[in-house]
Amino acid sequence: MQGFDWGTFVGVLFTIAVWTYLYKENPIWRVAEHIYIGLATAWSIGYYFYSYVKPTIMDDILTKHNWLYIVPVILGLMMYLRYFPSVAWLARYPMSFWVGYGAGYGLAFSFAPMLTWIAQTFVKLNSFNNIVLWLAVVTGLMYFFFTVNRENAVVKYGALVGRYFIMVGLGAAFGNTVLYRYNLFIDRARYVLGFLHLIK
Amino acid sequence: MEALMNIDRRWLFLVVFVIVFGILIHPIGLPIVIGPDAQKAYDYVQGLPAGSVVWLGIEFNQSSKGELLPMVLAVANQLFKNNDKIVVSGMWQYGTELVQPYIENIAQKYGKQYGVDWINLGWRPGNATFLHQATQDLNAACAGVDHTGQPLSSFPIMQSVKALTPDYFKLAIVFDAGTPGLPDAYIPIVYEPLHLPLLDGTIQMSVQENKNYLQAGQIVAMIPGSAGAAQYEKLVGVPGQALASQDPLSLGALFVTLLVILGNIGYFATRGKKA
Repeated sequence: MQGFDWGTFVGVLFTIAVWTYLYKENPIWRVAEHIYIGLATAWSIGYYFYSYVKPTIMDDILTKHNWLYIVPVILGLMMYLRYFPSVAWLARYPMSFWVGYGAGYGLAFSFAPMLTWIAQTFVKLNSFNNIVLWLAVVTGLMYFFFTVNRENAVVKYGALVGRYFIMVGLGAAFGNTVLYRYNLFIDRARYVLGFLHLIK
Repeated sequence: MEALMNIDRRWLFLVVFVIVFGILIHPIGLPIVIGPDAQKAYDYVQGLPAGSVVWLGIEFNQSSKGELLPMVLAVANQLFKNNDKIVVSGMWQYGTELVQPYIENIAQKYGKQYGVDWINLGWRPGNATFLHQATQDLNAACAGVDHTGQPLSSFPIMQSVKALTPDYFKLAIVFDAGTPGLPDAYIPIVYEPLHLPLLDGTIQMSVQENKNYLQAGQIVAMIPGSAGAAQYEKLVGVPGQALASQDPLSLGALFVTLLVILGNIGYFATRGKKA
């Protein structure tokens, strides 16, 4: 069996094992699922360590003496204090730091893109596309006017039109999702057929 | 009609299997028409001055390989053919390692040298935090090493690339399959404050959302999904997986459309009876 591609062979077996789930839940699928999760977790830890922890923490601190890096290391390790009931409260500090940092980051960087999107809905009504865009934005917003009396004819029919626009949007999203899933399947099908030399 | 509504879905899976496997083995060669999005993206890349440094953000992994890898390969072919330089990096685990051997092959084809004409900075965690640091100091953001742990200072290409800004890069092409990716990281951190042109290669599922950024002018162009990848392969002249996948994809989509129509007919025909 010299030259036989054992790696791809195992990949093909596992692909088929996962596909058996389409027929019904079964032990073959279960084995594939558990092995995949175990391998992925182990691989991810190793990859994270060698790609990030080692060069940024061990090399920088121990070799280059960037002592300030000890602060985030300590904060990171404090996360695990939650497993020790007597000092579990200390785990809140890195968490609160992280949440505060995230909130600040969001406030600093999220508004500019959103304002651009809003500005781009102010379009000249000089083309069919622009009219559709304007109508979809206005009626779509009307659909979410929950605090306004729906007896008002403008809001009532505006929201109805908005609902149809939203449904068209969701329909397009569904179509795109179907195509994406097909692509996943085609990619694996090509993998299996390639191994069997049925395609180039 | 009741029978139609109660059909065992495993029969449908079987039909999908037959369609996909059958057509992959015996392609029917449906025509590929170049769409305006792929054409615009191709023209933009083609219009870059020779020697431009381009960032390739590999923001996907194995699960979106079928759609996004062909795009990466087509774009890398085009960039190397035009003598542009490539800096690869990404915030998705395994993404940059996934593309490494493929880009290496393409670089060899065009006689491009690692560290001189292109470099792989590898996967970097931290999401937006990493990207933000990359816009200020790329060397520090990557802990001073490439994807194999070699010091960045040893690569000539890194002498002229200090940060992810328009001063050093002409374009950032983001191949994104979700978060972290274009909407949450590149647009707020790279485009809005710095106005570095972004080009998006995205999975079919994100096309609808990312079109908004195209319309808002936050990205210069978009390669939409597998169909966009196939068109791009055709434009660059490197037929690959995307072109080969279009026949089963088109007929598979047609089959689902047929099911949706039949499902609706069944629903309306039996609605009154169930009540």
